Amino acid sequence: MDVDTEMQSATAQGTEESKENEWVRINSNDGFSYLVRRKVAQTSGTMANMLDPNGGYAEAQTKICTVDERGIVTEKLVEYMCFKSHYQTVGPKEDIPVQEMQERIPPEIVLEVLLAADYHEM
Amino acid sequence: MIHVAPRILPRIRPLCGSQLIGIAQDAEAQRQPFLLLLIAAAADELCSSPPMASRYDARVPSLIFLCQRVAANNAEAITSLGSELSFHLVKPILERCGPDQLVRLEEASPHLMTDTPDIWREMCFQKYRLIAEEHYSPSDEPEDPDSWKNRYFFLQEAEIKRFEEVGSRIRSQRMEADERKKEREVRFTDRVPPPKRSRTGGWGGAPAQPKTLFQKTRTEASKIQKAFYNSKSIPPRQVGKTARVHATPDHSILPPIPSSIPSRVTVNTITLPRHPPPSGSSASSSSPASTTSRASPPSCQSSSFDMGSKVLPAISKPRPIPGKPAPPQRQSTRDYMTPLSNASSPPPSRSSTAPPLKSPGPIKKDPMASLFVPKHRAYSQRPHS
Repeated sequence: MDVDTEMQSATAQGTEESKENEWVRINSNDGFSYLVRRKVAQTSGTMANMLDPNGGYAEAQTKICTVDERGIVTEKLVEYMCFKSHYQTVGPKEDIPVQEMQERIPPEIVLEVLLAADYHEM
Repeated sequence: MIHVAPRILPRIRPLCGSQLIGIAQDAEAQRQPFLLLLIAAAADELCSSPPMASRYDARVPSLIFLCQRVAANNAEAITSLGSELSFHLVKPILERCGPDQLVRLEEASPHLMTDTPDIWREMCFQKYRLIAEEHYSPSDEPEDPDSWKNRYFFLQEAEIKRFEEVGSRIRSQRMEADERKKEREVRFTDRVPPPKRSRTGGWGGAPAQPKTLFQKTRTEASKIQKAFYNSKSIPPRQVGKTARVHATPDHSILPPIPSSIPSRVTVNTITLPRHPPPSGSSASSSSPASTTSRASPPSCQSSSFDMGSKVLPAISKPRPIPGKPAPPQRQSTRDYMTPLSNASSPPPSRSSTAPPLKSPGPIKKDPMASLFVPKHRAYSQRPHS
């Protein structure tokens, strides 16, 4: 019996980890599509909720999030999510190139990105 | 109602740091997912500011924060904020606008106007602190039509007016200083400035009629004599050598001969009929007046000289008889001399047959002679002896 629970908990953990490494799809409203790890997608609070199988959302089944923004804006969101998820886990001794990330936001779309970032809780 | 399984909970973190994150990490809170979400949402709402200390997120700023930074840096390029961005999102951008830009954005997004008075108030006190503090206090809450926005523009105009006043005052001061300097500088002109003062008191201006040559020379001669009397450097002179006649007989520089010297003239003058020289009239007219400088011509004369020509007018005049007795043999000379020298200054002469005069030329009124004879003996380069 003990071994069973152990195995169950181990599987549960494995499932969780493997789930984290699953690919999920993020679509823009003008036909662009981005594949990211679930872990990355969960940088956004909204997306994490959408993809959560325990939530009542259809996206949890399809593993596809649709962002109501143009492709260029969506791409910037994905870029930021990758940036953040990577540097979130880095040690305290390392420098985080925040300025670089900031420079990668062109002023022409900054207001749209701002609006989207606010909506997606990132 | 969102239901989130506890095991997923630790993955969800507020994207920016705040004190609420501490609550989220609490094990207790983990069992209250709804509460946690509310806290997370609230934390998200509140802090789009730079992240503070937290386990993972403190060092990675939120995308909202980065976007605000970029937009604020380019605030002047923004034409409109649209209708979807809420005030708290764009507040950092509005704070970085100029007053004109702020007005434009307000008009484009009227929903922001309810929150902008604070920004206007900050602007008033930052830009026009002195005047603003005079008129208003920061804790004011003015109502329409007065508002911090209106006050800002009122202050702006007041400031412009003050600058103009000060500027014009400085300008006028500078121009006055320039004018004063100009008056004192040297200028080209062809007009004679008015004389500062009249030459001496008592002279009414130009003389009534220009002085004749005769008068001019007389005044000059008297000046020269004064100079000579006052100067001590002139050694005593032998009268004989200085017996000199110039072309114009008035230009004599001899000191006056005191009348106490007895006359020892033994000149025998023979009058020759000659036309009176032009200067004869001057000689005669000068005779009653001049008492001093006429001494030389009558002395040491011989008949061959032109002096003879001077005798004629002298003789033709009525002769005042001098008080001094004179020997008969001298009568002619006396008579001759008197009209000329007013009977008071017969020139002393050392010898009857005087050596030839040193300057026969001037007797003939030879203008050439005066070329070589200096006008004033003081300036003569001949030896003083």
